[in-house]
Amino acid sequence: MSNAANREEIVRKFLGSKVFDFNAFGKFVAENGASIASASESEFGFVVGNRFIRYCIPPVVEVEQGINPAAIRNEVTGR
Amino acid sequence: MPNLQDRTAAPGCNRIAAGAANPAEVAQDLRRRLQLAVRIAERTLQFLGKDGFDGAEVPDGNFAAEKPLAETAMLLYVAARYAPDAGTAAPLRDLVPYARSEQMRWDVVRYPSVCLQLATPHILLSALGHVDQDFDELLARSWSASARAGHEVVPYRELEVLWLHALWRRERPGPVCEEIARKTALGNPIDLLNGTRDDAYAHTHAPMYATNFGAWQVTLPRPSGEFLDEAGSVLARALVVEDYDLAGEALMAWPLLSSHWSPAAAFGFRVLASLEDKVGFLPAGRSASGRIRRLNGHDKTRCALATSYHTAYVMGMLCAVSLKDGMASPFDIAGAAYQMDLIEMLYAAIPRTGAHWENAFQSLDAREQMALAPFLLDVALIRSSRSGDAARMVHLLQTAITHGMAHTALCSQSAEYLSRLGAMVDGRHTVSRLSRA
Repeated sequence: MSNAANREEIVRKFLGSKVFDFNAFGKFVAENGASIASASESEFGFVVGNRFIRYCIPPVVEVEQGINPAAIRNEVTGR
Repeated sequence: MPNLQDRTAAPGCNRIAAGAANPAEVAQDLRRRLQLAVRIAERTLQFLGKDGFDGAEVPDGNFAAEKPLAETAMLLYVAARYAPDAGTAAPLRDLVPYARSEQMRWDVVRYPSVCLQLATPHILLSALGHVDQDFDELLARSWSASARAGHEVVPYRELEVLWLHALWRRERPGPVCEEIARKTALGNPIDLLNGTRDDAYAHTHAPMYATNFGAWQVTLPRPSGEFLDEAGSVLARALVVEDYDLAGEALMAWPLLSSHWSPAAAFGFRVLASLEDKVGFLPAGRSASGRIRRLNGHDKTRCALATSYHTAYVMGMLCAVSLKDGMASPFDIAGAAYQMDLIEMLYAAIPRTGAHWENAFQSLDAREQMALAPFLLDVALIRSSRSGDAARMVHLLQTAITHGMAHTALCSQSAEYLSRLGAMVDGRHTVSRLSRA
């Protein structure tokens, strides 16, 4: 079986098993708060590194009270 | 709902009418974008090449000069390879004194365990014909130090060291490259739902180093289609969170592996190109640092460049590798057409945030939108997962099975994730019921 077929089989097996109990999951979220089940919408994750492994990782941009990037076009491109 | 009647190109992409532009027009457009990045590189050298940047409010926003110097060298190296007429001669000459400054020599001598990384600009300049025997000898002394292997790195960074060493010694890496590649994202899928940004960068960088930015044909540890399937999900996630740096790097996978652009990849390219046209350069995200407003003159320019140059470089490199022989137009969204009902259902399942991809999608014609069902499924699954909406994830997986789209890594990882969640919740309630009894 190809890997693509394998992946589809994983989905089929999950859906066929009907193991996911929506009522139990809803109760779990209600008891523990929605935050435990959801992730931050604004971040991809986190970056860990030192000066060397940060090559090719972009500098951190502080976006609080951010501005339209078009406002810095002249500074970046020189025109 | 998708605007099915609007057949105009994405905002800012009027120069290229998708599917209609001839190869010469496409190549000209890519060169124009690359030349913009090269121009920004000249300014980056001018303003950040000597001292780097230390004006950020958070420590991670600061960097030494070696970072922009290495990245500038990479941009110019890729540009010179795929677009010799992109205007790299002047910035390459400008780079030489920075790349081989007294500070650089001192760093290479002092830190043998990272000497190749520090010497990145020197090595890439040498590969382009700007050699320096004295610097080479210093580097050789550092490379032969007993502490050479004293800095442990993750596998994709091993590939980077191998790539630099091969360029420095003017030889191909050999079988060891395939051994290391097996341990990277080239050999194993990353966690597409909940992986970190580091994981995503590991995914985007491994093919850059393994292929020498598309110049080497390599035997991958698994079919390239599997890797590109995951790259498509990394791209979708990057477009959702408006991380255009990562989106651009994810897109490079197609030309690096000499593969035809998928509909999602071509759409991703259109999103980035239209945003670049709208802003004047490709920004890192939706907003730039508000701190720039409080600065003037030289400091303002340095801050603007420090927070923007990297993503502009990524766009330039993407355009350069897209000029590889045999690559089709990255603007052309062509693929299997799914039913419009499905497109509408998937698009409706995605909460609007105002992200730029939404505007770009609205401006596509119906034929293009109908090729993007797998992309919309990826976005819908990612958004549902991030908001903890398990019921919607299950519904989306059922839809994927019905429409023959469930063979992706994101679908199988979603199913596995929901299975684990189900087992966890079920286990808790079993314990709870038993304790009550």
